[in-house]
Amino acid sequence: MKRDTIRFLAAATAGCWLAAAAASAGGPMGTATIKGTVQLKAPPAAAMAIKMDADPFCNQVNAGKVVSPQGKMVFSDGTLPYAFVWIKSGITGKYDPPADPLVINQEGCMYKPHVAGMVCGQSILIKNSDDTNHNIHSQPKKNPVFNFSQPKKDMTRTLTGNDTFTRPEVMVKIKCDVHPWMSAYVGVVEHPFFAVSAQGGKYEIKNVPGGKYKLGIWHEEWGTLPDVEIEVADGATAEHVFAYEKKTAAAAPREVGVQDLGR
Amino acid sequence: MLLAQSRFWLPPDISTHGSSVDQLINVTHWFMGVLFVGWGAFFVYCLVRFRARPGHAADPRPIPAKTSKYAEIGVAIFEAVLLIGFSMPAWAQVKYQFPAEDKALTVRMTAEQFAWNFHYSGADGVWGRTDPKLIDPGNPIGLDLADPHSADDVVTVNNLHIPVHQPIIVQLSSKDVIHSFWIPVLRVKQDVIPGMSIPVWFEARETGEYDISCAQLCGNNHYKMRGRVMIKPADEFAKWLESEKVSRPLQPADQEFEL
Repeated sequence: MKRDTIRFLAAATAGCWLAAAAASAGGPMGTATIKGTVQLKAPPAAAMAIKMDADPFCNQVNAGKVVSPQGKMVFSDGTLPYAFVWIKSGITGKYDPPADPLVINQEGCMYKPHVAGMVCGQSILIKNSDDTNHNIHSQPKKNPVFNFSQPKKDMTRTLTGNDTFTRPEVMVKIKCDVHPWMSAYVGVVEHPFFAVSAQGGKYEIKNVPGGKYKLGIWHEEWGTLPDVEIEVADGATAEHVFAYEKKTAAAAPREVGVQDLGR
Repeated sequence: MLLAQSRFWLPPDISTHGSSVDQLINVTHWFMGVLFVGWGAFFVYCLVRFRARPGHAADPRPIPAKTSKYAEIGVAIFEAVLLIGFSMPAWAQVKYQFPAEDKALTVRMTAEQFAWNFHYSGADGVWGRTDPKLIDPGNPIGLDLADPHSADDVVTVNNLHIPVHQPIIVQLSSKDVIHSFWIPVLRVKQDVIPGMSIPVWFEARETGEYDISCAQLCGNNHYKMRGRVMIKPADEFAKWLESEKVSRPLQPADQEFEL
């Protein structure tokens, strides 16, 4: 081989090694925080309680409780839980998925958490804490489908590699084919800067590198809102209040007529 | 026809029309049994009598006897009697002779993968408006809670409550794929087709709780698509209907919030 060719190949190989090393190093974490609340400025959607007596086990573990469909929940101060907030653009660098899996638990015939975020490629640990048969059926558009049952209490299954969600997708719905009211939503994002609004409609995204970003929001019942431009310096906190005044078109699709091949 | 009345091998029959269905099942099975024994015995006889052995060659000429022809004609006539004398009357009774609507309780059923959703119209006799856009985990049929007719409606999942000794009409439909509504003890089975509303009727003679099953493969949890029919005295049913009226709006979610 000619000397020039050898030199070129050596340089190209070294370059690839360096690029690979840089890519697997993990993106930067910061010291800024983006937080706020999610409010509802419209009358709450009318709702019916979930009919837990559809299944004798679910009826027994929820005896005496009124279980609301989570997407319809509104706190008495007019704030919304279960809104998924994430940095839609402005993040640079590649982020490895964390070693800990996203845990989805089936307890009391409900998925917990109901809404969650994960980094592309993060493993998912699904467990059944109920002494009854549950089925876990994902309905992604860009990621692999899984559809399996966990008939016994304490069964677990971990999805990794090509079995987990590796492509960005907001949101992936997971449902139980045995209990039709059970649903969970997972936001698959390329980085770890996301949060889900909880008590009081509060959300908080921590360890954000300082910079200018666009924030996105999704809610199962109320849909999305226009992206918000937000700037935060290292070590500082930026706040934004999201306010829904009406439903938008991007609310969760109804599951009527869903067809997929499953696994 | 004592043998035609035997029920030991069938589920209990607690419906008013079930005896004609059971009679048809029994007669058909006894007839099949007779044919099976008869033809089977003849088959074994032929295997032995005409087995290949030295000194015997097969004779391809048709036999002149007419016994088999008369036997086949006899079978065809018996089958015609079964069809015209038993099946058609039973079918006509179950499929066409619906009870008067003012005497019957009418319930709507919307099937889905993998649950049975029942919708009662309540005291006003008018079903509240439904819309697929309103379907959510607590509202599986998409009942419009703003419609005044919804105020007394009752929606249940997998639990069909009915009064005893009253004709029941169930209007069947599906949200997604073909299912089949089957209550063995009431001798009811009807395919449920999305986009259609197909009525069935029955009347229970006894109280109790029994299974509803899906009889048309509808997906990977078809085997788990079970419901219960609760047959109660009329006064208990009326009390249940009154107590179960759709409750809304739900209180704010401060209680027991969990991410």
